[in-house]
This record gives sequence, structure tokens and C-alpha cells, in this order.
Amino acid sequence: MTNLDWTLLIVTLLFIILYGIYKSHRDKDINGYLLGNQSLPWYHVGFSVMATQASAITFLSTTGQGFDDGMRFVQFYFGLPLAMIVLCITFIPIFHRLKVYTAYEYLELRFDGKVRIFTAFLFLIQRSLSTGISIYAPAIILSTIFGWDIFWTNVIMGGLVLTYTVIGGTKAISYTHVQQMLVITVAMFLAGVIVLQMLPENIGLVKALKIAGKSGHMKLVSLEFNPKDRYNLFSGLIGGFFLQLSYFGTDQSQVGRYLTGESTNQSRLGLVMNGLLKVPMQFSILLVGVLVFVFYQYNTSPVFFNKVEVDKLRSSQYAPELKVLETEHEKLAQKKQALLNSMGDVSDEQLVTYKASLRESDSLSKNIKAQVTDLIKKNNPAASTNDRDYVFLRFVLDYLPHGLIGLLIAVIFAASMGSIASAYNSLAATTVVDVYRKFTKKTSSEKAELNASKVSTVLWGLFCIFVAQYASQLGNMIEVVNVLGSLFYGIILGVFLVAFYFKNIGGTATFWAAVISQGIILGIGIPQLILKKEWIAYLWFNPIGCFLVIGIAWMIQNLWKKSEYSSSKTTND
Amino acid sequence: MTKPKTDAPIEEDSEHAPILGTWRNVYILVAGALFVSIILFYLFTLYFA
Repeated sequence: MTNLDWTLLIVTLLFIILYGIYKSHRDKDINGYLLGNQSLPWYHVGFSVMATQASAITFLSTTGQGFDDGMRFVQFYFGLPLAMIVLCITFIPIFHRLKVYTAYEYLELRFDGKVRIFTAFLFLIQRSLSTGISIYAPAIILSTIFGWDIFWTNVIMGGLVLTYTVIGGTKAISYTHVQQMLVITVAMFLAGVIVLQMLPENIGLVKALKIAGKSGHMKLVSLEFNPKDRYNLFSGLIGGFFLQLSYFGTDQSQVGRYLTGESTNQSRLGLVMNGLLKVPMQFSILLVGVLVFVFYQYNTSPVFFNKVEVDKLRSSQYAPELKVLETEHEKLAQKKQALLNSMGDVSDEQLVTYKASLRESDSLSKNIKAQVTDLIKKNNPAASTNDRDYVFLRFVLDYLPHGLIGLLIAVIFAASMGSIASAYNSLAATTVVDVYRKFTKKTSSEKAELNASKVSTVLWGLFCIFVAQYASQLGNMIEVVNVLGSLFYGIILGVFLVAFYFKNIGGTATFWAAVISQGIILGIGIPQLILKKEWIAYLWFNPIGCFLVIGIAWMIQNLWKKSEYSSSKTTND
Repeated sequence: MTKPKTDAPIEEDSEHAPILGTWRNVYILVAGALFVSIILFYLFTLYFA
């Protein structure tokens, strides 16, 4: 990092914080603080929805996913455009017509208070845990650049966003999202072009993709149906559809974004924009990761991308073993580069032998990496050995020109701040509107509610920072966020679908169906997380949870229907 | 058991879309773009993988 990089980074962060403060100075009531007085145009809604979903995790983990696992992760987003259509048809008109602050308010209008509270509770658990991980993601940048302890980096990152969010309201968040998305697009495009230019002269985009394809990195669409396989066309379209529908339709961090639209039409157009751009955007980010993979086929990669842990190892008793492994890794890399450089001049028969040699080298490389990981674990049992998330960052710092480094780091920070700010805002909105307001029986003043929103934001912020301290132990961050979401989203979506489409089902049936279904999903999901084995790929939790709620609610409602009406003991609380 | 409330919260899609005339056309565009993307990605898979 040079002075130019630091200047770009600091100016961008200061600009976002000051801009947030400037934009919030007119919003003195809770409507302005939580909904931005519902005055924003469609492109603000669209950019804000995209920026909320695209946090630092998107750039660190998705590029790492492209590097390590190839393009197949793009299938995860196939259900998103279809979910946007359903949201535009069903959710947006209802939320706008009822003029709700949170999605859960609607559940009390449709069912009763206990369904609203239970669903809001599930959201608060899920969103606060996920936000903790979103804080951890940019914190690893700081720890890698400065060699700081991850504890303090989490505190600094989460605390900075907390300050900005408490002062700025939802309108400020939306305004900064627009700028963030524009800068992100430009910076990622530049990064992709530069990686391509850094490849050997005879390697263009098509040849680079062919090399990536030979290593299994270009399986964009898999038609093979396998419930254990995380990403294929079916899990993406069906599981992804339910996950995205639940995320955008029932997660207040997103509902709060499109409720800022000045009309139903503006909110709808914002989601349509997201539906059209999200898949190409994720494709492009993964492609950058794949190009980085190709780059490292021609340049020796670090034996382990997390520099902090390698440096610790270098100054430990395991240093001699690390040295041996690094030498072996270097030799293998050179052998691989020689094979790749001579592959263009060989006959088809020789090509088969060359490919076999490449595969053998890849396998040996993985073996060496596994040995280094073991050493790191021995040296520091609490160390983060999930190296995927460090790939892009290390590449940026080692190879990209100064100026662009600062810009990309600023982009990652800006994206994080935007999504974390949205999450804090939504946690506060749900706490105040669905819990505080309900239990104070609507007697509190506007000012008291505004203050409660700010206090609630601070408390949730502190909790999320606490969660961030444990995030490094959970694995690839973007997957962890999605796994966590999948444990809860299906249930919440099921409740909303019952509300929208099953008019004969009441609150009590829905409440108990949600409780039972959540128990079942956690009963399957938590052992999978603990044992690190997958009997059912996590995306399937979304449709399973959703259908469980609908099915169980329908059964309860119909099985007890007669006794309900004959006993006349029912209440409409 | 709580008696189900009978109000119908889903309103008709009455507003005209600012682009392409109707919202139906806009949704067809979104679904069509997804379909084309999947086909393109499948062709990419066949060609490169």
C-alpha cells in the first residue's frame, strides 16, 4: 500500500461517513429514519437492494470460490430473477398498500401477534448472525494488511459502521449504495481486464477459459440432479428460488430497502433491475476468480494465501518443515508452468500424457497445501485455515498496480459498510416496530421511538461484533451466510406464503406449524454443521422448510377445525 | 385455534408498467433473460469444460 492507495481508501471511507451524516440531518422522525419517507426512485431501490446483498463477502469469497471451485456457484443465483417476479406481483403491492414499516407487521394484520413476534424473532437471530460474518469479512482485510489481531479488527470495522449507521438513517444508506455500486462495477471491471493482461502474451480470454475448463473450473451448468450436490441447475432454480424469495420477501434488511421506493411502480422497477443484473454480475465476479486461477497456473502461487498465518509459522518451531514444503511447491509450480508452455506444440497423443502430468501436479500441490494447513493448525489451533477467502485479496496486494489497490480495498470496505448498515438498520426497525412498539402499546412518542431505534442499533451492533469474533471458525464465508439463512428462511417464507395464499388457515395453526418446522430443520441442519457432513445440500432446506410450514399448518387447521368452531373457545388475539 | 381472518390482502396489479406497456411484459423480459443466460452458460460448459 502506497500513499496513493491510502489516500484513496481514507477519502472514500470519510466521504461515505460524512455523506451519511449529511443526508440524515433532515430525517428527524422514525419514518424518515427507517423508511426514508418513502421518497426514492427505482434506480436507488435497485442499487440499494443489490448493494445490500453484495457485501465484502461477495468480492472476497466469490472470487475465492471461482479460483477454487470454478464457475458452478453461478447456479446459486438462477432462482433470483424468478423470485423478483413473484415479489413484484405479490409482496410489494401488499406492503405498500398496508404502509408497513416491517414485513412482520403484515403478519399481525393477517394472523395474530404471536406469529408476528415468532417470525420477527427468527429474522433477528438469522440476520444478526449473518451480519457478524459480514463484519468479519472486511476485518480479515485489515488483519492481512496490517497484521492486526482479528479481535481488534472486528471491533474497529463493526464500530465504524455502527457510528455511521446510528447517525445516518435509511435514506443515507440508500444514497451511498448508489455510489458504492458504481465504484464496485468500475473497479471489478478494471481488475478483470488487468488480470487478463497479466497472462502470458499468447493467452487470450478464450484460451484462458479453456485452460480453466481443463481443470474443471468451467462447469457453469450441471444438469445432474443430486440432492447432496450444492450447486446444480435444479438446486439453483428451485432451492435458490425459495431462498431468494424468502431473503428478498421476508428479510427486513431487503424489505426495508424497497419500501423506500416512492411508489409500488418504483419499488417494482428496482427489483426488476436486480433480476436482470444479478446473474451477470455474479458471473463476472466468479470469472475474475477463474482468471486469477489461470494467472496462478503461469505464476507461482503462495503455498498458503493467508500471509498472517504463514508468517506466524515462519517464526515458529515448524519453520524448517514449512521451508521444505515451500521448496516442493515451487518445484511443482515450475514443472506445471513448463508443461503448460509446451502443450501448444505437442501432438494429440502427447497431449494426453501432458494432461495426466498436469493432473498429477495438481494433486501433489493440493497435498502440499494440506500439509501446510496441518502445520498451521498445529502451530495455532485457533487459526483460520479457510484459504479461499484470502486468494483475491492476496492477488490484489501482490500484483495489481498502486491506485487500483487502494480503490479495490475501498470498494470492499464500502460494500461492507453498506450491507452492514442495512442490516443494523433492519435489526433496529424490527426490534422497535415489532417488539418495542408492541409492548409499549403504541403509547410512545415519535422522539422516544427514534431514540429507541438508535439505542437498538447500538445494541445489535455490539452483538454482531461479538458474533464476528467466532466467524473465522465457520468455513467459507459466503457459504456460511447462505447456510445460516437457509436454516431459517424457508420457515419464514412458509409463514408468508400461508398468509398470502391460504386464506382458510389461521394464526394458531401457522404459529405451531412454524415452530414444529423450525425444530425439524434445525434437527437436520445443526448436526450437518457440527459433523461437517451433508445429507441434504443446504439450499434444499428452503423449499423443505417452506412446504413443511404450509403442510403442517394446513393439517392443524383442518384436523382441529371442527373442535375449534364447535367449542367456541377461539380468540382472535 | 385462531379463527382465520377473512380479509383479502392481495390487490390487483392495476398500475401500468413504465416500460414495455404492462408488467406482464416486464416479467416475461426478466424470465426470458434468465432463460437465455442459462442456455448461454450451458453452451459455455459444453465448449470449455
